[in-house]
Amino acid sequence: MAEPYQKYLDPQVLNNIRHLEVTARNVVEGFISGMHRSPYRGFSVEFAQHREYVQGDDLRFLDWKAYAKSDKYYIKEYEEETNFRAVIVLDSSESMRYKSGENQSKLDYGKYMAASLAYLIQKQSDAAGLALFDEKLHDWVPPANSQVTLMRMLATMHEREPQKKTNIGEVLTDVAQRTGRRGMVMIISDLFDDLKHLKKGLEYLAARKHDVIVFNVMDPMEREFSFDRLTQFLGMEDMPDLLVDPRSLRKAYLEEVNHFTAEVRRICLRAKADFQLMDTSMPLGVALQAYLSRRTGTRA
Amino acid sequence: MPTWLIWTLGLGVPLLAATVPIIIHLINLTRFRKVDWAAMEFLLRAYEKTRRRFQLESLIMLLLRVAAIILIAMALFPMGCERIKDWADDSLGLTRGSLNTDAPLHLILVLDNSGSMSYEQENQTSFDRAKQYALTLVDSLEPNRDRVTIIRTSDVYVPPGLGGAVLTEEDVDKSRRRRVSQLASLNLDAARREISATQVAAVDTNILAAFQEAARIAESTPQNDAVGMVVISDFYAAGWGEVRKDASANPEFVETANRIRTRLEEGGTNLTFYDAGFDNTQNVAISDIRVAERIVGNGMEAGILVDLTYYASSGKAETRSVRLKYRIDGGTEKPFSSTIEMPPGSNRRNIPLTLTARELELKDEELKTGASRNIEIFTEQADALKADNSRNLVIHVVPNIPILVVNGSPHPDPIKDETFYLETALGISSSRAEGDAGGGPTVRITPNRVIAMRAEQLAAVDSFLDYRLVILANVRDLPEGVVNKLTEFVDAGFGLVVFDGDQVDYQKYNSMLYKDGKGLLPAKLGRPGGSDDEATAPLFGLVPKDTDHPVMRIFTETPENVSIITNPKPIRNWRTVELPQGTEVDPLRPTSVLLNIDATSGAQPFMVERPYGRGRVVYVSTTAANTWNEMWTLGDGLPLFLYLELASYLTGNEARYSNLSVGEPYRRVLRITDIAPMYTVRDPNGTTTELVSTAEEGLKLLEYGGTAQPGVYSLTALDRLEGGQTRKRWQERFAVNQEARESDVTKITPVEEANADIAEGDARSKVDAALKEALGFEDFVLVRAGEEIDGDGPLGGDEGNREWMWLAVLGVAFLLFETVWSGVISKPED
Repeated sequence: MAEPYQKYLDPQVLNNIRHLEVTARNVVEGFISGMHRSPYRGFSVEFAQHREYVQGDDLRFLDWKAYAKSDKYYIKEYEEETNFRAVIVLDSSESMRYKSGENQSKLDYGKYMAASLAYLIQKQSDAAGLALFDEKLHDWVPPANSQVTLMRMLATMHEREPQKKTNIGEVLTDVAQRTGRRGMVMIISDLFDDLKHLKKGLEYLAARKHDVIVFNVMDPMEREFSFDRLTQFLGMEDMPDLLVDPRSLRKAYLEEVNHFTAEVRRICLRAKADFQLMDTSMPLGVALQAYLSRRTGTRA
Repeated sequence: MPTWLIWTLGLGVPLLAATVPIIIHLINLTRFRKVDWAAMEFLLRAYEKTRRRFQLESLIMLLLRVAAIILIAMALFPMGCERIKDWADDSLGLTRGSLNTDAPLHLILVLDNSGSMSYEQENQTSFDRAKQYALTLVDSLEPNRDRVTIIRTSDVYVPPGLGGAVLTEEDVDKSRRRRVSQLASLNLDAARREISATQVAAVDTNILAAFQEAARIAESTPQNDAVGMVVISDFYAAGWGEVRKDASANPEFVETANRIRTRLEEGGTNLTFYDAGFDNTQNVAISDIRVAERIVGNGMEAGILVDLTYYASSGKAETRSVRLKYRIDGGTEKPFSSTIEMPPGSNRRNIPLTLTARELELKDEELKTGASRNIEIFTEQADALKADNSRNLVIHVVPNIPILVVNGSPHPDPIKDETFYLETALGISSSRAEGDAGGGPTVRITPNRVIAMRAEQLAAVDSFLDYRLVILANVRDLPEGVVNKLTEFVDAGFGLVVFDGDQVDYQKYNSMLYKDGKGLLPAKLGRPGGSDDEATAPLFGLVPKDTDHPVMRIFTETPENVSIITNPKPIRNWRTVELPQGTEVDPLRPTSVLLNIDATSGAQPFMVERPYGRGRVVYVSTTAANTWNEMWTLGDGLPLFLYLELASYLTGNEARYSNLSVGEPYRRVLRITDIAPMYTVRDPNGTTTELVSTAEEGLKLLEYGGTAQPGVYSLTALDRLEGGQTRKRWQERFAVNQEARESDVTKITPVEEANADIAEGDARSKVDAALKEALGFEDFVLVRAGEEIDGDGPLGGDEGNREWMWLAVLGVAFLLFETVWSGVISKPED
């Protein structure tokens, strides 16, 4: 029986993206075999540690010797067993809870997206990890290319409920420090934070030579603001409520949103980060396919 | 409809309706949907940027909803608009609230139906607006409890004896004064019918009489009843001028108004005025037409004079170009004047129209027997007040005018004969034209036919009614029978001239003709004041006294004409006279001095006039001949002009009765040859009324008081034939015209501005100030037509309703659009 968190691996999404690759535009420090260029010559597969087997672990990495001695299943973990390390940084703050109509909430959309990307990354023999954050980094799944890691990522995401405010700058610094070597950082967030923090975090990642992709997830209602009657807007993340006729504010609101998006684009461009706006009304498979196709086409 | 229901519909419904959007607005504030919102920071920033505009839009939206609802409500309940004004302004509405609701209200409605109320703008007359307001007032009353008395200010009095009964002096007075008709204590339905049926009369407004009547009615109303009084008028200066006297408030009017005010205060109401007139009024009127010679004799040209006046409430009004036309007896219209440029406030007098016998289409037979023609003068283009764009004039063409000259001092020498000069002057009608050696046609200057008679022959005269004018020249005294016949003659409307002289027994004159001011003679005679010594007596000149008198006009029109009187000094002797004093003074028979002798002892009357009955008597204090004066030898034709004018004036009295103002009774003396078995009068509407000749102290008179309509009336004398048939014996016409002063469409102004040619500025303020001045108090209410709601135009009339309906449609459209657009009454989001 499938675990609930396995729902994030939507076959339809995966079918759309299975032929696509997550390519690092920057020179990724890591194993380059085939696709990824590495600054290091040759590669080494060094044993790192044992850990207990969890369902889903690749039985190829079962340490039969240890099993023979202890009658327990241990999985051998190796350093640098993959070509590159990708960390998916998923915003789980309260603002990500927003959804309009039949659309998924931004967080759910982000979770599906993170799962799909992680699946894709692992499928191409790269390592995928997860960082869940709001005000701070809450959950950390180190990048690895294993079914176990993927399941851990899914389970972690599944258990996570949106709460608290966003503090992306501090989180990105933390992620950069945890990641260590250069790799890929995929940020999935609505970015509703002080853009100075975002800028600081991206600049930190850029300084560490990470290849950064910013997925700015927004609900279509947040982008279009097509409310047509008197509405009380209940603020999330400790923001105040506002009772207002949205029609009278729409123009000014859209100006603010467009300004915000343009500013994020500008910050990403300066930090050499890839920016992609993700609309939760767009089918995830289509959206990812479009983005990854574009990214593949621009591959260096 | 009950008052409470009108109030409910008139005010309650619009007010309730107006609260609907507010309620919706408040409901909406509780029926909003709630949305968790992530992008709150953007929203707050946008809100901060647009907060003021948003609040303003919300307010405007609310106001528009309220306005739309009010418009709809007002369109559905037009009376409500009036009522709102009532409650805001009208004392009737205001005070009803403070009255005992069970107290009956007696509403006195003074309705101005004078001629000026037919002034029309945009297919609506002042009277239309007045009636609509009056009906609204009546609708506001409570049936079976309140009642209405309608006082019309300008009804033409039609005496009860229209069919031929003799008009009493009171009847005549009533007709002349413009009757104020009172329809007392009408129930509301009757009042509505009466208001709807009321027509504009072609006469002026008798405001003072209306107020006097209103005061009487108010004071006779039971004490427990409240009295309200509303005066609906156009407040044009012509009718309201009488509320002043000598450029100040008329004490009689002030006293009357205060009596009304006192009674109204007992019931808690205020005197209310409703101004139904228009502003920026302009009216070109034919203010008068007349025959220069009064009566046109056979062979004379008919000289007609026309006066034009341009009344404008603003001096900034445009100059108007006016062309005059005429038609005879309803025939083909013909122009007779070039274009006349009329600046606002101007008047043009004596625009001439001369018509020959041929142009008058007189037949030979008519020249012998006499005839009458109606000349209609009209402006080429009608304006806002149509009633005065045309006037009718009936002219009489007579074979001759018989004048009896009684010679009291005949002499074989014509130069010394008492009446030689006078007969020659008055009979100049038979003179040939100057320069015509003979054989040419006779040109008649006057229509007079002079019949001379010695004084002693007077006693043999049966009746003076065969003459139009009797002149007594130096007649010693008069037998009593003659005095009586002369009195009858003058009373019937003819003229008498008395020349003095050395033969006159002035004491007998005083006792028989003056009678302490009650007789024919205009003044009490005294001793001669000059000298008849031709060798030594100084000569004195003449000074015009009453320059507006018709006889004097010819001399005062130009300086050259004035000199005809003032240059020569022809008077040597005259009789001193005493003008009526004390009890001898009769206001109805004012004495007027036309000319004075400029004597060293002070001005002495030379020519004195006084009416008697329907006729007039003129006394000349010197002789008709050159015995007491040198008039026939020193003057530049002074006596010729003066006595011809005098004769024309006095013989034209009968013709004057052929051209009347509306309401003025028609009178005709029947000579023996005029008497017929039957008489009928046909009015301009075609209605025929049979008249019966009446005897008044021996006179045969025809009198007709039904001159209520302007136009031409015809009087026909008929013979009765066997089988009930009739045959016309003779026919005459008489014209009835609207009173000229009803053409003045400028509003009343305070006294200090009254002398300005055209008052500028705010008409409402001026009317308000003028009323305060005239009434002597300020606690009255003035409501103006068109200001019931917003001052943009009258609510009344189809036009007004159409505008309101359009506004209502707009209001509905707005509400529909706004509702669809915003989903005003939508369910809140879950």
